[in-house]
Amino acid sequence: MTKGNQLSNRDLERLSAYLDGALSEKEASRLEARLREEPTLQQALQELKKTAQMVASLSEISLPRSFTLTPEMVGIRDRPRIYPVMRLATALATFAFFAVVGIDAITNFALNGALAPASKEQVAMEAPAPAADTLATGATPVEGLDLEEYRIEQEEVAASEIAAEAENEMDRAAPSGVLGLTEETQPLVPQEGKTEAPELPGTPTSVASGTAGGELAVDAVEAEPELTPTIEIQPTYTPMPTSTSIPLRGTVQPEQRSILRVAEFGLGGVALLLAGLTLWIARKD
Amino acid sequence: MLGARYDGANVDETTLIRQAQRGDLEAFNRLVITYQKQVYNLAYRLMGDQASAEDATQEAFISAFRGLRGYRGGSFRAWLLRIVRNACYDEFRRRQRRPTTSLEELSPFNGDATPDSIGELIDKGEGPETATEEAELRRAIEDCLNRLPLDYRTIAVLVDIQGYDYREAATVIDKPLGTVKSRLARARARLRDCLQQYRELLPTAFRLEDETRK
Repeated sequence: MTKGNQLSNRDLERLSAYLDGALSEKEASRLEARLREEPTLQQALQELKKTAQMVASLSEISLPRSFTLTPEMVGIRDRPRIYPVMRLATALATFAFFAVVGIDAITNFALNGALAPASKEQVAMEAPAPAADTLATGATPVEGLDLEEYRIEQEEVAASEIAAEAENEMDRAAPSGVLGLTEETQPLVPQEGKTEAPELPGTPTSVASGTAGGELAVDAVEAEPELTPTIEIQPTYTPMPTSTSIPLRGTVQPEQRSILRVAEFGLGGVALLLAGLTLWIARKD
Repeated sequence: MLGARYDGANVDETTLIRQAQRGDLEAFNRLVITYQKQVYNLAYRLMGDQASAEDATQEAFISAFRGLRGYRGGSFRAWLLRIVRNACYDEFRRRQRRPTTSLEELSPFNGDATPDSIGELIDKGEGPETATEEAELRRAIEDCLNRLPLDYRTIAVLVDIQGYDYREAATVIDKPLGTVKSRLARARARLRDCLQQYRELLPTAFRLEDETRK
Protein backbone atom coordinates (compact mmCIF):
# COMPACT_ATOMS: atom_id res chain seq x y z
CA MET A 1 0.00 0.00 0.00
CA THR A 2 1.98 3.01 1.13
CA LYS A 3 5.53 3.56 2.12
CA GLY A 4 4.32 3.64 5.67
CA ASN A 5 4.76 -0.12 5.61
CA GLN A 6 8.48 0.39 5.33
CA LEU A 7 8.70 2.29 8.55
CA SER A 8 11.01 0.99 11.16
CA ASN A 9 9.36 -0.35 14.28
CA ARG A 10 10.87 2.55 16.18
CA ASP A 11 9.24 5.13 13.91
CA LEU A 12 5.98 3.21 14.00
CA GLU A 13 5.94 3.33 17.79
CA ARG A 14 6.81 7.02 17.76
CA LEU A 15 3.97 7.82 15.37
CA SER A 16 1.51 5.73 17.35
CA ALA A 17 2.50 7.35 20.64
CA TYR A 18 2.47 10.78 19.01
CA LEU A 19 -1.18 10.22 18.03
CA ASP A 20 -2.03 9.62 21.67
CA GLY A 21 0.08 12.49 22.96
CA ALA A 22 2.30 10.00 24.74
CA LEU A 23 5.63 11.39 23.53
CA SER A 24 7.73 13.69 25.62
CA GLU A 25 7.89 17.30 24.50
CA LYS A 26 11.39 16.85 23.14
CA GLU A 27 10.51 13.69 21.22
CA ALA A 28 7.35 15.26 19.87
CA SER A 29 9.11 18.35 18.53
CA ARG A 30 11.82 16.22 16.95
CA LEU A 31 9.18 14.04 15.25
CA GLU A 32 7.24 17.08 14.07
CA ALA A 33 10.39 18.38 12.40
CA ARG A 34 10.83 15.08 10.59
CA LEU A 35 7.15 15.00 9.60
CA ARG A 36 7.56 18.34 7.86
CA GLU A 37 10.49 17.01 5.85
CA GLU A 38 9.41 13.40 5.22
CA PRO A 39 6.12 12.99 3.34
CA THR A 40 6.19 9.21 3.73
CA LEU A 41 6.34 9.63 7.46
CA GLN A 42 3.48 12.08 7.29
CA GLN A 43 1.48 9.64 5.17
CA ALA A 44 2.12 6.84 7.64
CA LEU A 45 0.92 9.06 10.45
CA GLN A 46 -2.30 9.81 8.62
CA GLU A 47 -2.90 6.14 7.91
CA LEU A 48 -2.40 5.22 11.54
CA LYS A 49 -4.67 8.04 12.61
CA LYS A 50 -7.42 6.96 10.25
CA THR A 51 -7.08 3.36 11.37
CA ALA A 52 -7.35 4.30 15.05
CA GLN A 53 -10.38 6.44 14.33
CA MET A 54 -12.10 3.64 12.48
CA VAL A 55 -11.47 1.19 15.32
CA ALA A 56 -12.70 3.76 17.81
CA SER A 57 -15.88 4.17 15.81
CA LEU A 58 -17.02 0.71 16.85
CA SER A 59 -20.05 1.22 18.99
CA GLU A 60 -20.32 0.01 22.52
CA ILE A 61 -21.96 -3.36 22.90
CA SER A 62 -25.14 -3.28 24.93
CA LEU A 63 -25.44 -5.70 27.81
CA PRO A 64 -27.34 -8.89 27.05
CA ARG A 65 -28.23 -9.21 30.73
CA SER A 66 -27.19 -8.10 34.17
CA PHE A 67 -24.16 -9.75 35.71
CA THR A 68 -25.01 -9.08 39.33
CA LEU A 69 -24.21 -12.03 41.53
CA THR A 70 -26.58 -14.15 43.54
CA PRO A 71 -25.57 -15.75 46.87
CA GLU A 72 -25.65 -19.16 45.21
CA MET A 73 -23.11 -18.07 42.58
CA VAL A 74 -20.52 -17.21 45.20
CA GLY A 75 -21.37 -20.02 47.59
CA ILE A 76 -23.17 -17.92 50.18
CA ARG A 77 -26.00 -19.88 51.77
CA ASP A 78 -28.85 -18.50 53.77
CA ARG A 79 -28.49 -19.85 57.25
CA PRO A 80 -31.47 -20.59 59.47
CA ARG A 81 -32.52 -17.80 61.78
CA ILE A 82 -31.66 -19.90 64.78
CA TYR A 83 -28.01 -19.99 63.75
CA PRO A 84 -26.95 -16.75 65.47
CA VAL A 85 -28.86 -17.78 68.60
CA MET A 86 -27.11 -21.13 68.65
CA ARG A 87 -23.79 -19.48 68.07
CA LEU A 88 -24.34 -17.13 70.99
CA ALA A 89 -25.51 -19.98 73.22
CA THR A 90 -22.41 -21.97 72.33
CA ALA A 91 -20.19 -19.04 73.17
CA LEU A 92 -21.93 -18.48 76.50
CA ALA A 93 -21.80 -22.14 77.45
CA THR A 94 -18.14 -22.30 76.58
CA PHE A 95 -17.46 -19.16 78.58
CA ALA A 96 -19.39 -20.53 81.57
CA PHE A 97 -17.52 -23.81 81.31
CA PHE A 98 -14.15 -22.12 81.42
CA ALA A 99 -15.32 -19.85 84.25
CA VAL A 100 -16.30 -22.87 86.34
CA VAL A 101 -13.06 -24.62 85.51
CA GLY A 102 -11.23 -21.52 86.60
CA ILE A 103 -13.15 -21.29 89.85
CA ASP A 104 -12.52 -24.95 90.49
CA ALA A 105 -8.82 -24.51 89.86
CA ILE A 106 -8.68 -21.55 92.23
CA THR A 107 -10.57 -23.34 94.97
CA ASN A 108 -8.43 -26.42 94.52
CA PHE A 109 -5.38 -24.27 94.93
CA ALA A 110 -6.82 -22.76 98.08
CA LEU A 111 -7.71 -26.19 99.38
CA ASN A 112 -4.29 -27.60 98.70
CA GLY A 113 -2.70 -24.60 100.33
CA ALA A 114 -4.68 -25.27 103.49
CA LEU A 115 -4.65 -29.01 103.20
CA ALA A 116 -2.37 -29.87 106.10
CA PRO A 117 -4.10 -27.71 108.70
CA ALA A 118 -7.44 -28.63 107.29
CA SER A 119 -6.87 -32.31 107.87
CA LYS A 120 -5.83 -31.58 111.37
CA GLU A 121 -8.93 -29.56 111.84
CA GLN A 122 -11.08 -32.22 110.35
CA VAL A 123 -9.87 -34.68 112.90
CA ALA A 124 -10.00 -32.28 115.70
CA MET A 125 -13.31 -30.73 114.95
CA GLU A 126 -15.12 -33.99 114.79
CA ALA A 127 -13.54 -35.47 117.81
CA PRO A 128 -13.89 -32.65 120.31
CA ALA A 129 -17.59 -32.44 119.86
CA PRO A 130 -18.14 -34.20 123.12
CA ALA A 131 -15.18 -32.44 124.70
CA ALA A 132 -16.41 -28.96 124.07
CA ASP A 133 -16.31 -28.02 127.69
CA THR A 134 -12.79 -29.14 128.07
CA LEU A 135 -11.67 -27.32 124.96
CA ALA A 136 -13.50 -24.20 125.91
CA THR A 137 -11.55 -24.01 129.08
CA GLY A 138 -8.33 -24.09 127.15
CA ALA A 139 -7.32 -27.63 127.93
CA THR A 140 -7.00 -28.60 124.27
CA PRO A 141 -7.04 -25.59 121.97
CA VAL A 142 -7.69 -26.42 118.34
CA GLU A 143 -6.96 -24.06 115.51
CA GLY A 144 -9.68 -22.83 113.31
CA LEU A 145 -12.58 -24.04 115.38
CA ASP A 146 -15.43 -21.92 116.42
CA LEU A 147 -15.52 -23.08 119.96
CA GLU A 148 -18.34 -20.88 121.05
CA GLU A 149 -20.65 -22.36 118.51
CA TYR A 150 -19.48 -25.75 119.44
CA ARG A 151 -20.15 -25.14 123.06
CA ILE A 152 -23.69 -24.04 122.41
CA GLU A 153 -24.42 -27.16 120.48
CA GLN A 154 -22.93 -29.32 123.13
CA GLU A 155 -24.87 -27.59 125.83
CA GLU A 156 -28.05 -28.36 123.98
CA VAL A 157 -27.11 -31.96 123.84
CA ALA A 158 -26.19 -31.98 127.47
CA ALA A 159 -29.55 -30.65 128.40
CA SER A 160 -31.03 -34.11 128.32
CA GLU A 161 -31.79 -36.01 131.49
CA ILE A 162 -29.47 -38.77 130.53
CA ALA A 163 -26.63 -36.34 130.36
CA ALA A 164 -27.30 -35.19 133.85
CA GLU A 165 -27.19 -38.69 135.20
CA ALA A 166 -24.03 -39.46 133.37
CA GLU A 167 -22.40 -36.36 134.73
CA ASN A 168 -22.95 -37.44 138.25
CA GLU A 169 -21.48 -40.78 137.65
CA MET A 170 -18.50 -39.38 135.81
CA ASP A 171 -17.80 -36.93 138.56
CA ARG A 172 -17.48 -39.75 140.90
CA ALA A 173 -15.49 -41.97 138.64
CA ALA A 174 -13.06 -39.45 137.13
CA PRO A 175 -13.11 -35.95 138.53
CA SER A 176 -10.02 -34.77 136.71
CA GLY A 177 -10.00 -32.10 134.03
CA VAL A 178 -9.13 -34.64 131.44
CA LEU A 179 -12.06 -36.73 132.26
CA GLY A 180 -14.23 -33.70 131.94
CA LEU A 181 -14.05 -34.50 128.27
CA THR A 182 -16.19 -37.51 128.74
CA GLU A 183 -18.73 -35.82 130.85
CA GLU A 184 -20.56 -34.57 127.86
CA THR A 185 -19.85 -37.39 125.55
CA GLN A 186 -21.63 -39.72 127.76
CA PRO A 187 -25.09 -38.32 127.28
CA LEU A 188 -24.85 -39.18 123.63
CA VAL A 189 -24.47 -42.83 124.49
CA PRO A 190 -26.26 -42.90 127.78
CA GLN A 191 -27.02 -46.56 128.16
CA GLU A 192 -23.49 -47.73 127.74
CA GLY A 193 -22.13 -45.05 129.93
CA LYS A 194 -24.50 -45.94 132.67
CA THR A 195 -23.84 -49.58 132.59
CA GLU A 196 -20.13 -49.55 132.10
CA ALA A 197 -19.10 -46.85 134.44
CA PRO A 198 -19.68 -48.87 137.57
CA GLU A 199 -17.80 -51.79 136.17
CA LEU A 200 -14.57 -49.84 135.91
CA PRO A 201 -14.59 -47.51 138.83
CA GLY A 202 -11.81 -45.10 139.58
CA THR A 203 -10.20 -45.15 136.15
CA PRO A 204 -10.63 -42.94 133.15
CA THR A 205 -10.82 -45.99 130.96
CA SER A 206 -14.18 -46.78 132.32
CA VAL A 207 -15.46 -43.48 131.13
CA ALA A 208 -13.79 -43.76 127.80
CA SER A 209 -15.10 -47.16 127.16
CA GLY A 210 -18.52 -45.97 128.12
CA THR A 211 -18.48 -43.18 125.59
CA ALA A 212 -16.71 -44.88 122.78
CA GLY A 213 -18.35 -48.19 123.30
CA GLY A 214 -15.34 -50.14 121.99
CA GLU A 215 -12.00 -51.60 122.83
CA LEU A 216 -10.15 -49.04 120.76
CA ALA A 217 -11.14 -46.24 122.98
CA VAL A 218 -10.18 -48.18 126.07
CA ASP A 219 -6.71 -48.92 124.78
CA ALA A 220 -6.12 -45.42 123.66
CA VAL A 221 -7.08 -43.87 126.87
CA GLU A 222 -4.87 -46.25 128.74
CA ALA A 223 -1.93 -45.34 126.57
CA GLU A 224 -2.52 -41.61 126.86
CA PRO A 225 -4.65 -41.08 129.80
CA GLU A 226 -3.78 -37.45 130.34
CA LEU A 227 -5.17 -35.33 127.60
CA THR A 228 -6.00 -36.34 124.10
CA PRO A 229 -8.67 -38.89 123.88
CA THR A 230 -10.16 -36.81 121.13
CA ILE A 231 -8.77 -38.81 118.28
CA GLU A 232 -9.77 -42.08 119.74
CA ILE A 233 -13.20 -40.87 120.50
CA GLN A 234 -13.71 -39.61 117.02
CA PRO A 235 -15.38 -42.72 115.65
CA THR A 236 -18.05 -42.47 118.25
CA TYR A 237 -19.18 -39.05 117.22
CA THR A 238 -18.65 -38.89 113.54
CA PRO A 239 -22.32 -39.56 112.83
CA MET A 240 -23.28 -36.55 114.86
CA PRO A 241 -24.64 -33.65 112.94
CA THR A 242 -22.35 -31.29 114.80
CA SER A 243 -19.33 -32.53 112.92
CA THR A 244 -20.64 -31.25 109.61
CA SER A 245 -22.21 -28.09 110.87
CA ILE A 246 -18.94 -26.56 111.94
CA PRO A 247 -17.89 -23.83 109.56
CA LEU A 248 -14.34 -23.87 108.31
CA ARG A 249 -12.73 -20.63 107.32
CA GLY A 250 -10.52 -20.50 104.17
CA THR A 251 -11.37 -23.97 102.93
CA VAL A 252 -13.92 -25.47 100.59
CA GLN A 253 -16.45 -27.98 101.69
CA PRO A 254 -16.43 -31.26 99.80
CA GLU A 255 -20.05 -30.62 98.81
CA GLN A 256 -19.10 -27.38 97.11
CA ARG A 257 -16.30 -29.10 95.28
CA SER A 258 -18.56 -31.81 94.05
CA ILE A 259 -21.05 -29.19 92.85
CA LEU A 260 -18.26 -27.50 90.93
CA ARG A 261 -17.28 -30.79 89.37
CA VAL A 262 -20.83 -31.50 88.31
CA ALA A 263 -21.12 -27.98 86.88
CA GLU A 264 -17.89 -28.46 84.98
CA PHE A 265 -19.01 -31.69 83.40
CA GLY A 266 -22.46 -30.31 82.71
CA LEU A 267 -21.31 -27.08 81.12
CA GLY A 268 -18.60 -28.83 79.15
CA GLY A 269 -21.14 -31.24 77.78
CA VAL A 270 -23.60 -28.47 77.00
CA ALA A 271 -20.91 -26.45 75.24
CA LEU A 272 -19.89 -29.43 73.13
CA LEU A 273 -23.49 -30.25 72.32
CA LEU A 274 -24.28 -26.67 71.32
CA ALA A 275 -21.12 -26.41 69.23
CA GLY A 276 -22.06 -29.60 67.42
CA LEU A 277 -25.58 -28.38 66.79
CA THR A 278 -24.34 -25.00 65.58
CA LEU A 279 -21.95 -26.61 63.14
CA TRP A 280 -24.66 -28.90 61.94
CA ILE A 281 -27.01 -25.98 61.35
CA ALA A 282 -24.26 -24.04 59.57
CA ARG A 283 -23.52 -26.91 57.23
CA LYS A 284 -27.07 -27.89 56.62
CA ASP A 285 -28.48 -27.34 53.10
CA MET B 1 -9.81 11.11 22.49
CA LEU B 2 -10.61 7.89 20.76
CA GLY B 3 -13.67 5.81 21.38
CA ALA B 4 -16.06 5.78 24.26
CA ARG B 5 -14.69 7.09 27.50
CA TYR B 6 -15.71 5.38 30.70
CA ASP B 7 -16.13 7.15 33.92
CA GLY B 8 -16.15 4.43 36.51
CA ALA B 9 -15.23 6.71 39.39
CA ASN B 10 -17.76 6.66 42.14
CA VAL B 11 -17.81 8.78 45.23
CA ASP B 12 -18.84 5.79 47.34
CA GLU B 13 -16.63 3.31 45.52
CA THR B 14 -14.12 2.96 48.33
CA THR B 15 -16.91 2.36 50.83
CA LEU B 16 -18.57 -0.17 48.58
CA ILE B 17 -15.30 -2.00 48.08
CA ARG B 18 -14.69 -2.11 51.82
CA GLN B 19 -18.19 -3.44 52.44
CA ALA B 20 -17.82 -5.99 49.68
CA GLN B 21 -14.50 -7.10 51.13
CA ARG B 22 -16.39 -7.93 54.32
CA GLY B 23 -18.69 -10.18 52.30
CA ASP B 24 -21.46 -7.71 51.51
CA LEU B 25 -22.76 -9.05 48.21
CA GLU B 26 -25.20 -6.19 47.77
CA ALA B 27 -22.38 -3.67 47.91
CA PHE B 28 -20.40 -5.71 45.41
CA ASN B 29 -23.40 -5.87 43.08
CA ARG B 30 -23.50 -2.09 43.04
CA LEU B 31 -19.93 -2.19 41.79
CA VAL B 32 -20.95 -4.80 39.24
CA ILE B 33 -23.70 -2.52 37.97
CA THR B 34 -21.19 0.31 37.64
CA TYR B 35 -18.60 -1.66 35.69
CA GLN B 36 -20.40 -4.53 34.02
CA LYS B 37 -20.72 -2.76 30.68
CA GLN B 38 -17.00 -2.07 30.44
CA VAL B 39 -16.10 -5.55 31.60
CA TYR B 40 -18.52 -7.17 29.18
CA ASN B 41 -17.34 -5.01 26.28
CA LEU B 42 -13.74 -6.00 26.82
CA ALA B 43 -14.79 -9.66 27.07
CA TYR B 44 -16.87 -9.37 23.93
CA ARG B 45 -14.08 -7.75 21.95
CA LEU B 46 -11.58 -10.34 23.10
CA MET B 47 -13.79 -13.39 22.73
CA GLY B 48 -15.63 -12.30 19.60
CA ASP B 49 -19.01 -13.77 20.48
CA GLN B 50 -21.76 -13.06 22.93
CA ALA B 51 -21.99 -16.43 24.67
CA SER B 52 -18.26 -16.64 25.43
CA ALA B 53 -18.22 -13.00 26.51
CA GLU B 54 -21.11 -13.62 28.91
CA ASP B 55 -19.37 -16.60 30.43
CA ALA B 56 -16.10 -14.73 30.82
CA THR B 57 -17.82 -11.70 32.35
CA GLN B 58 -19.78 -13.74 34.86
CA GLU B 59 -16.76 -15.77 35.77
CA ALA B 60 -14.72 -12.61 36.19
CA PHE B 61 -17.19 -11.05 38.61
CA ILE B 62 -17.40 -14.23 40.66
CA SER B 63 -13.60 -14.39 40.79
CA ALA B 64 -13.46 -10.72 41.70
CA PHE B 65 -15.85 -11.17 44.60
CA ARG B 66 -13.97 -14.17 45.92
CA GLY B 67 -10.61 -12.49 45.50
CA LEU B 68 -11.65 -9.06 46.65
CA ARG B 69 -9.35 -9.23 49.66
CA GLY B 70 -6.48 -9.27 47.19
CA TYR B 71 -7.41 -5.83 45.91
CA ARG B 72 -4.85 -3.42 47.31
CA GLY B 73 -6.10 -0.09 46.06
CA GLY B 74 -5.49 1.70 42.79
CA SER B 75 -7.90 1.70 39.90
CA PHE B 76 -10.68 -0.72 40.76
CA ARG B 77 -11.80 -0.67 37.15
CA ALA B 78 -8.35 -1.72 35.95
CA TRP B 79 -8.33 -4.46 38.60
CA LEU B 80 -11.67 -5.78 37.31
CA LEU B 81 -10.60 -5.54 33.69
CA ARG B 82 -7.46 -7.46 34.44
CA ILE B 83 -9.57 -10.25 35.93
CA VAL B 84 -11.83 -10.46 32.90
CA ARG B 85 -8.85 -10.27 30.59
CA ASN B 86 -7.30 -13.21 32.46
CA ALA B 87 -10.59 -15.10 32.24
CA CYS B 88 -10.59 -14.61 28.47
CA TYR B 89 -6.98 -15.72 28.19
CA ASP B 90 -7.75 -18.82 30.24
CA GLU B 91 -10.61 -19.65 27.91
CA PHE B 92 -8.36 -19.24 24.89
CA ARG B 93 -5.78 -21.50 26.47
CA ARG B 94 -8.46 -24.12 27.04
CA ARG B 95 -9.42 -23.84 23.41
CA GLN B 96 -5.80 -23.98 22.44
CA ARG B 97 -5.42 -27.42 23.97
CA ARG B 98 -7.94 -28.79 21.52
CA PRO B 99 -6.92 -27.25 18.18
CA THR B 100 -3.28 -26.83 17.21
CA THR B 101 -2.98 -23.07 17.12
CA SER B 102 -0.68 -20.88 19.15
CA LEU B 103 -1.93 -18.30 21.59
CA GLU B 104 -0.43 -15.51 19.51
CA GLU B 105 -2.44 -16.52 16.50
CA LEU B 106 -5.61 -17.31 18.34
CA SER B 107 -8.62 -15.40 17.18
CA PRO B 108 -12.25 -16.23 16.59
CA PHE B 109 -11.54 -15.99 12.90
CA ASN B 110 -9.02 -17.74 10.72
CA GLY B 111 -5.96 -15.55 10.35
CA ASP B 112 -5.55 -16.69 6.74
CA ALA B 113 -8.84 -15.23 5.64
CA THR B 114 -8.91 -14.53 1.95
CA PRO B 115 -10.89 -11.91 0.07
CA ASP B 116 -13.35 -14.71 -0.68
CA SER B 117 -13.93 -15.38 2.95
CA ILE B 118 -14.31 -11.68 3.64
CA GLY B 119 -16.88 -11.41 0.90
CA GLU B 120 -18.62 -14.38 2.39
CA LEU B 121 -18.61 -12.66 5.73
CA ILE B 122 -20.27 -9.60 4.32
CA ASP B 123 -22.78 -11.64 2.37
CA LYS B 124 -23.88 -13.28 5.58
CA GLY B 125 -25.39 -9.96 6.55
CA GLU B 126 -27.83 -7.89 4.67
CA GLY B 127 -25.76 -8.06 1.49
CA PRO B 128 -23.52 -5.45 -0.17
CA GLU B 129 -26.37 -3.89 -2.03
CA THR B 130 -28.74 -3.41 0.82
CA ALA B 131 -26.36 -3.05 3.73
CA THR B 132 -25.45 0.44 4.72
CA GLU B 133 -21.91 1.53 4.26
CA GLU B 134 -21.58 2.02 7.97
CA ALA B 135 -22.61 -1.53 8.80
CA GLU B 136 -20.14 -2.91 6.28
CA LEU B 137 -17.37 -0.83 7.70
CA ARG B 138 -18.19 -2.00 11.22
CA ARG B 139 -18.07 -5.64 10.19
CA ALA B 140 -14.80 -5.10 8.39
CA ILE B 141 -13.23 -3.45 11.40
CA GLU B 142 -14.48 -6.17 13.71
CA ASP B 143 -13.10 -8.78 11.40
CA CYS B 144 -9.68 -7.16 11.29
CA LEU B 145 -9.73 -6.71 15.04
CA ASN B 146 -10.55 -10.34 15.55
CA ARG B 147 -7.67 -11.41 13.38
CA LEU B 148 -5.16 -9.70 15.60
CA PRO B 149 -3.12 -11.78 17.98
CA LEU B 150 -4.73 -11.74 21.40
CA ASP B 151 -2.11 -9.51 23.03
CA TYR B 152 -2.38 -6.90 20.27
CA ARG B 153 -6.14 -7.09 20.22
CA THR B 154 -6.31 -6.51 23.96
CA ILE B 155 -4.31 -3.30 23.72
CA ALA B 156 -6.20 -2.06 20.67
CA VAL B 157 -9.52 -2.61 22.44
CA LEU B 158 -8.37 -1.02 25.68
CA VAL B 159 -6.85 2.09 24.12
CA ASP B 160 -8.62 2.65 20.80
CA ILE B 161 -12.10 1.34 21.61
CA GLN B 162 -12.47 1.76 25.36
CA GLY B 163 -10.28 4.85 25.49
CA TYR B 164 -8.07 4.03 28.46
CA ASP B 165 -4.72 5.75 28.75
CA TYR B 166 -1.46 3.86 28.48
CA ARG B 167 -0.97 3.68 32.21
CA GLU B 168 -4.32 2.05 32.92
CA ALA B 169 -3.89 -0.29 29.97
CA ALA B 170 -0.51 -1.28 31.41
CA THR B 171 -2.20 -2.08 34.71
CA VAL B 172 -4.78 -4.24 32.97
CA ILE B 173 -2.26 -6.28 31.03
CA ASP B 174 0.22 -6.17 33.90
CA LYS B 175 3.06 -5.03 31.66
CA PRO B 176 5.26 -1.93 31.48
CA LEU B 177 4.30 1.17 29.53
CA GLY B 178 6.85 0.37 26.82
CA THR B 179 5.05 -2.88 26.09
CA VAL B 180 1.78 -1.04 25.73
CA LYS B 181 3.34 1.42 23.28
CA SER B 182 4.96 -1.20 21.10
CA ARG B 183 1.97 -3.55 21.08
CA LEU B 184 -0.40 -0.73 20.25
CA ALA B 185 1.79 0.46 17.38
CA ARG B 186 1.96 -3.02 15.92
CA ALA B 187 -1.74 -3.58 16.42
CA ARG B 188 -2.54 -0.36 14.56
CA ALA B 189 -0.15 -1.26 11.75
CA ARG B 190 -1.77 -4.68 11.35
CA LEU B 191 -5.24 -3.19 11.44
CA ARG B 192 -4.21 -0.70 8.79
CA ASP B 193 -2.93 -3.46 6.55
CA CYS B 194 -6.00 -5.57 7.17
CA LEU B 195 -8.38 -2.73 6.40
CA GLN B 196 -6.55 -2.15 3.12
CA GLN B 197 -7.83 -5.55 2.05
CA TYR B 198 -11.33 -4.23 2.44
CA ARG B 199 -10.59 -1.26 0.27
CA GLU B 200 -11.75 -3.26 -2.77
CA LEU B 201 -14.96 -4.21 -1.07
CA LEU B 202 -15.61 -0.96 0.70
CA PRO B 203 -14.17 1.64 -1.64
CA THR B 204 -16.02 4.61 -0.24
CA ALA B 205 -15.38 3.89 3.37
CA PHE B 206 -11.71 3.27 3.31
CA ARG B 207 -9.58 5.75 1.45
CA LEU B 208 -6.38 6.15 3.30
CA GLU B 209 -4.32 6.71 0.20
CA ASP B 210 -6.81 9.22 -1.16
CA GLU B 211 -6.72 11.22 2.06
CA THR B 212 -2.98 11.29 2.22
CA ARG B 213 -2.81 12.62 -1.28
CA LYS B 214 -4.99 15.60 -0.49
